[in-house]
Amino acid sequence: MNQFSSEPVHHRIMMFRLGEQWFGIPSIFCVETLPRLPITKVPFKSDAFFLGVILNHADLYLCIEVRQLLTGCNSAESHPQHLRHVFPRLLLIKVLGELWVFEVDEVSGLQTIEDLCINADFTNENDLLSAQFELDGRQVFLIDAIKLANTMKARFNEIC
Amino acid sequence: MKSADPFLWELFKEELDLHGSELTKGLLSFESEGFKVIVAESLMRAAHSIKGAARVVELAALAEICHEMEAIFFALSEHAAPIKPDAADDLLKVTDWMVELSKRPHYPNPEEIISIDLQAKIWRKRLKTHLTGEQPEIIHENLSSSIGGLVNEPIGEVSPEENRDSFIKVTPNHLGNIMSRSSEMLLETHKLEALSPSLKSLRTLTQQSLLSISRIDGSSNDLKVCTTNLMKLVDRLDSFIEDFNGAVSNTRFLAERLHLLATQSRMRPFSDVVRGFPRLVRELSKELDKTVNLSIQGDKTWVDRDVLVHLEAPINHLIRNALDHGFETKSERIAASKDVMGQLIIEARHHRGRLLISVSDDGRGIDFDRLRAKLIREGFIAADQAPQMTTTELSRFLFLAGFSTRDSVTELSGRGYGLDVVQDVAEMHGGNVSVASEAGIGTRFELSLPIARSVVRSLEVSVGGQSFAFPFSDIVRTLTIHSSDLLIERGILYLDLDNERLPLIPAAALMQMPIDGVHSDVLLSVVLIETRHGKFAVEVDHFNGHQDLIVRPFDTRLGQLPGLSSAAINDLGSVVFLFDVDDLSRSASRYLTEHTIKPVEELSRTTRPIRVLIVDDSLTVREREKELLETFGYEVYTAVNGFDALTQFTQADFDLVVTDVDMPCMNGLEFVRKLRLDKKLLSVPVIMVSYKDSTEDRLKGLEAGADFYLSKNSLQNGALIETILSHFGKMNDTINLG
Repeated sequence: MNQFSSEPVHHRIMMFRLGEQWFGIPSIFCVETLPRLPITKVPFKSDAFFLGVILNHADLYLCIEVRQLLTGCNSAESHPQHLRHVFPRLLLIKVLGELWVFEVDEVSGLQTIEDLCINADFTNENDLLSAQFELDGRQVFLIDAIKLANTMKARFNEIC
Repeated sequence: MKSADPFLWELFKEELDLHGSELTKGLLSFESEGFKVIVAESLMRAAHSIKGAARVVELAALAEICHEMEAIFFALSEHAAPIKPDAADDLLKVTDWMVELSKRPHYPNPEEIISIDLQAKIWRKRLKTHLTGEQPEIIHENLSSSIGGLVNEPIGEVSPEENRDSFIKVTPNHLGNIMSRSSEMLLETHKLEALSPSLKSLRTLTQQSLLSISRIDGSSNDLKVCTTNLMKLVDRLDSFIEDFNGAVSNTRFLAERLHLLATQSRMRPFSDVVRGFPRLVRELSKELDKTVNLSIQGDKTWVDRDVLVHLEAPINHLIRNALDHGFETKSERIAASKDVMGQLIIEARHHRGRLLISVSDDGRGIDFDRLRAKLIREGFIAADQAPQMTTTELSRFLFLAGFSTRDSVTELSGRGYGLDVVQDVAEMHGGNVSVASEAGIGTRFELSLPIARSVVRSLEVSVGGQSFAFPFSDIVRTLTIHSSDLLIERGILYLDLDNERLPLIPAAALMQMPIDGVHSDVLLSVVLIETRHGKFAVEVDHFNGHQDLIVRPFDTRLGQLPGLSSAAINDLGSVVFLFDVDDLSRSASRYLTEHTIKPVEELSRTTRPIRVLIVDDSLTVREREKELLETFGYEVYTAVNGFDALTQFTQADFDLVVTDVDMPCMNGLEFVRKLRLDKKLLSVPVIMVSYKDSTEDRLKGLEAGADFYLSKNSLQNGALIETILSHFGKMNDTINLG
């Protein structure tokens, strides 16, 4: 609730799926959703975390693997053959002035969530997840974008 | 107040910069080309324009000065009289003063206005004397302009031929976006082109269906309709393909034009960087009492703005060099039967895909005998080596930081810091600098740079399944050779080419990619490169053809990528990595050293003691270390500094180096770095011994290429000899030679 009025506060969240888990990231950090594009490995640098670069609108973006960070599983583990279809997309985000691209299994799009529905008191081993809510019967974890960006940056610095 | 309007102030600044530039150029032309009425009239108009602009922003004092200037130019044009030198000096100085005012980010505050008014009064009085013929007062120091006040700011997007009143400001960011979108459009056009074969195959398929149907016996209505429809489909496809190809061709033409225009928007004329130089030459000539005429050729030559920004400093230094070192005094020139007026030529031109900028003079040239003697005297080269060195080899010393041919330092030059900066700037932009000189005739410095940083003509190649590219200008030659033509020596493949044995290095190895290994009876694609690190043959998987690649800088988060300068986008919209040939050849050199089988593993015919080179400027330390090592049976040589040590390496092989850090001429860090640049010396162990013992000092030493870093105490406490013994084994071991 807004302290100055009785109007509820809403959040715009971009929702996406990795494996069986749904995540949300505040729309303020989202720049663009992209179709799956070729990822070009960068000599000396590419590894399991830093996949390479993608070309979008004649600009190059760093593409990283966030699956392990967010779900604790790697790509193979989160896609056993009997699971549902994957509709791969790329999500381009900008946090703390830096652009990152990562692949997701499905993008649900922007959703408006009432503040009251978000449970910030939930406990989770993964400190990149700051809150949780339910939408259409799905449990969605809200990502702490700043922490995610700092983690990605730290991992990236190890490579570079 | 209208005058405080930031927008108006910006406009005023541009106006002042523009017309100020014109005033400076015109006044200098009076001296070099003589008085011309038409020029005086244009200067009058320039002064008039500044006067008007100054009135708009309510700088009355400036308007009044311009009024005096107008009067002077009017008088000159009326009487067609040449301008007196002191009048020209004052007009130039007051122009500089006004232009300096315009560099303020904001309109002057009230206190500053008072100060400007006071200064303007003095200038007006002085300028009036040039009209009345009175003796002018001496101008106080703080009012006179200095060489440092030269205006070198670009005046915007307009060239002198365009209408100066119709220009707009564009931020670099916006320009960059336009460049990106035009690149993207070009890529999308290429994708459209790729659809054309698909349409043709669709037509072929339809045609074949029609033929098949026509062979069917039958006269059913459905069959007739089907046949008719297929015929229409074929016709429409023909028409569509024709229209489609036409549209794609037009789009491609427009996209290429747009891309070219966007690329050109990054280019600036060379004149942008040289505007201040006529003034510089004039002032320096006066200061040194020399007469020098500056000629600028190729001022309309296009230069990438990223390169242009960095050109002013190196050219400035080359000019100072020429004036201070190059040109003789008037009496010396007369004695040498030369024209008293020296000629300094700055030229810019495009040649074979490169931008060449030269600064040449008809001065005394480089006295290579004197240079040789100085190099020997200062210990840079050994006396017996000097006569064999060519002028090209000797010239390289001119670019060493700290080296100067002058015995004394002047205000202008002589400290030895300058030509190395010229070289650094050239190399920073993927170029180089060379010098040619003849004693008594003159000297010519030439900077060779890529024309555009945004588009690079390249040879695209495949390496390990990925696309890379060599800039055309960096390729010596490409060839396809048969694997049976290769030789193997000490674990390295070589090819014999034009009586030269060149090491063949797989590009995949340099990029740390898996290597298949050399198979017999196959053709290999090879690119020859040559840099200061040596000449190499780089094997690639195959050539993919030449491309104009759109360069995309690496994300700074990636840091340094060995052997690569940037990413690029090819015609198909794929990412290609552009080789940095200089860095690549350094990697190649390192690869050779690491993969060459050491001679100690081969059969030996002769042996010798372990040879150690001690490098230290202290005689006491040298002798102490020598004595210590000779006790253990080593053969010891000594050098007084890094240069001396490098010279020693040209005469003998050493198995170990023990070097101090702080030494004159060339310190230990620089010495070791240079040692490591030589592929033959990469594996020589180096022990640094220094009084500087902090962690930071140690890291510096190890980063420079030393294998061990010990404190000077190691002489007393045995650590030095222990380190040597642990590396070389028993005292009596000798080196096996191949």
